[in-house]
Amino acid sequence: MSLLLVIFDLVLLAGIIGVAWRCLASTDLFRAVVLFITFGLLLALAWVRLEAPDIALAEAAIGAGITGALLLVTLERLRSIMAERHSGRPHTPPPDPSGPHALLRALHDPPPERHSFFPALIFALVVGSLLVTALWHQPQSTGLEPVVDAHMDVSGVDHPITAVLLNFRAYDTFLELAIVLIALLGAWSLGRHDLIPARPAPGPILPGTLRLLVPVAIVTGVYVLWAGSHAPGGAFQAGAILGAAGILLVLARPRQLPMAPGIPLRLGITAGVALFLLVGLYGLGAGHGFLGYADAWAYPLIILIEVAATLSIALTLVALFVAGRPAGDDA
Amino acid sequence: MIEAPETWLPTAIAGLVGLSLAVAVVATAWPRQAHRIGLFGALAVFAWVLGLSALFVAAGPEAEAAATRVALGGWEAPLGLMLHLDGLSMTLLVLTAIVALATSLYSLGYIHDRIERRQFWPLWLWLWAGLNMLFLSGDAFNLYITLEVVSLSAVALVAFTGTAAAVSGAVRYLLINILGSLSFLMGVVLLFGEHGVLDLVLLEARSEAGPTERMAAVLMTAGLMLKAALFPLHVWLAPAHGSAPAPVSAVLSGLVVTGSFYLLLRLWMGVFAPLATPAFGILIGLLGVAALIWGSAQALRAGRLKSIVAYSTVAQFGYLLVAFPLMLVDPDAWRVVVFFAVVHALAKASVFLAAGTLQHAAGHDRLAELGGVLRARPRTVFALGLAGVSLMGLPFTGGFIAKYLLLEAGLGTILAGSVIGVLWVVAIAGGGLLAAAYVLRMVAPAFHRGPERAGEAVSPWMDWVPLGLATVAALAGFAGTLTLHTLTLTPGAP
Repeated sequence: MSLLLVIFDLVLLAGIIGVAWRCLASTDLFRAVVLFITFGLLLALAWVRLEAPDIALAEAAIGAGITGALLLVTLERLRSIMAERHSGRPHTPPPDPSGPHALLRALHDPPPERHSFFPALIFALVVGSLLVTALWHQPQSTGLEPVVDAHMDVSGVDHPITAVLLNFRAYDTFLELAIVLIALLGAWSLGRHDLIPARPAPGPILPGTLRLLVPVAIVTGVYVLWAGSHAPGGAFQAGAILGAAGILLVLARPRQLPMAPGIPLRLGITAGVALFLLVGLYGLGAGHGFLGYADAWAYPLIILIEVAATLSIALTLVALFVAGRPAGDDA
Repeated sequence: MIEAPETWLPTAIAGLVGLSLAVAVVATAWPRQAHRIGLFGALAVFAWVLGLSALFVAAGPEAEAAATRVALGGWEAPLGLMLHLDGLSMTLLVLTAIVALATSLYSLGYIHDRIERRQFWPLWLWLWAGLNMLFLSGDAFNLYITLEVVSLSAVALVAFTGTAAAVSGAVRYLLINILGSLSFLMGVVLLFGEHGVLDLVLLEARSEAGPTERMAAVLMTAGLMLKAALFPLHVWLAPAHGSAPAPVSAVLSGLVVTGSFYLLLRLWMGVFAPLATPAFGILIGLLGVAALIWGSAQALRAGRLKSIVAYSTVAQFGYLLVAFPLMLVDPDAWRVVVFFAVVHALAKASVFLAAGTLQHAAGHDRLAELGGVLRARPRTVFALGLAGVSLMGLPFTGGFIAKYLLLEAGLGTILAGSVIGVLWVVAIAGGGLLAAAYVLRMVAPAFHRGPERAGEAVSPWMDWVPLGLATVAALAGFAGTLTLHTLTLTPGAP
């Protein structure tokens, strides 16, 4: 049994390194993106083997799933821009340098013809071997596990990871939510969103699958959120699943997206951080410290924050996929 | 006085984090009013920081006493996160408040387009909140996250005008920042693996000169040097800082870069202190000398006003590196280094703001064609000159005191018998001359004969704020004693 596991681990490791290398070496962007998604899935497996199911879930949902979707849609947009450029329309007006395409155009500096991987390889080998040497000398450390375990009874939840993320180190989690939000603000600041050229859905399969898939995704997302209090799961994973459902809906839309209303959208993307901050400030005022809870209130408050965070994350991810700020936001 | 200031201090510290976050969140949720929220928020945060500094100095913890540490959520380290306030972070918080308030006022005039305003203010308020949190953080992993908040909002601000130059500058800046952050994070992971704690004070108590610390030091230092654009990892700085909108350039060169430098200083005075050997100090010092020469040479060659200012940041940060070997001989010198960084941030921010006003009036910032505008706008040129004089380090300005103290420390090393000390002294003195050369290059056209051309009208904010901030930079010398006193209230530091 253990021999089988060792073989599995070795194959997995070789797969991770091989896929990563192919991804970096690929000159075809589409292939590179697909390899990147594969890489994320293998990495999720590796986290499972390291007995970190929470990270595995997050890696699969966000690292492979959502990031992959974002990369693919970026590629699609790049293609449509390049097609527009080569479409032979004589003297199309020069692209507006401040227009929404500026980022894509700037990204599309053609890569140099020949790559030399040797400097990168040597650098990676040197840093890697130094890291291994440093790790070799490290004692077997349990980190903070004993301390966390000793405080589980006052944390309000039964799952140690959730206890750390939403109680003991809630400040970090709050800032991570803020980072997701800032990323969206950054994307929105670049320009109004322009539609992905609509491609009529070929046949009934996509809409038919969606009709079944979206309810399943919603139920799964809510379950993962709920499970977070006692088992692997939580707001980031649940948000990613709901976000994925939203992305599918966007992809299968029959026609243009309806104009998103500005004010509810803004409130939706900030709900997570806003509620988190309100609870935190209440804690400061009530004498539990900034971002602290009274023990009895810890569970309901954590659930409340997680629900708001899930909604905000899901909305933010869909908005990132659509890219560019919706016209409604300027009204 | 009913209650001692110590009792209020923890609440005031957590309150500062809460307030700056609240301002950013409200502006994000309500972009239509973002500029008003930003203005009132900026005033409120500024007032709060001043109040906090008064409380801090009044509480007057002895240098040996523990710094003020606030357990978030009531969880003490190692389980929870601690905010950490000492003289060093207090000084940088006050600096940030001054520069950020000036930048906010300037932005009221600079960014008047309705759509741009809605995008600019939330990002800028997040950046400011991120800086405040960075200076208050006492936890290695939390430092990584605050660094990310700062970098990500800074990248978005560089790109937000949406021109091709700004966007490609921003993408480069983003890649550099990610590389720097990941390198930093890897160091944090190594330290956590070795010691099982993330709190900086606990880490410092447990650290020794082992292989983990060495590797972590290399990774974290390289990452932060990349972010602080310290020589030779500086090449990204000029395009990013030069192509950003003026208030953003001011904040990037004045505060964001200083934030990475602050972290380097904090780590090397704390966790990595056992690793600092004279040979390492000399290596860093030599990099500093190279930065001084190279940055100044580029500033002397650059054809655009904002590029000159951006390259001068590379040169001025050379001083901070030159100070490293001095600190090894004379540990007290670190306070001078921080004071120098403070004065530089004030002066550099005002130079960038003044340059922004000129660029706005002229419609471009090509030095060769700026003469008319320079001649017609004496107030802005005066601000440019005044801040420049502080950068050069002429007597009575903040820059003079800082360089004088640095030179004194350098001479001290020579007296202590270090031959290489001569090099540091020559570099410090010569760097001032080079600074004089590129500052004069910027203002000289104003004194040539020629037509005056006021160019496009600018708002009063853009006219007066650079002058105000330049005055603060010049007068910073008078705050020298207070700053140096505040810095002595840093436990653990020499």
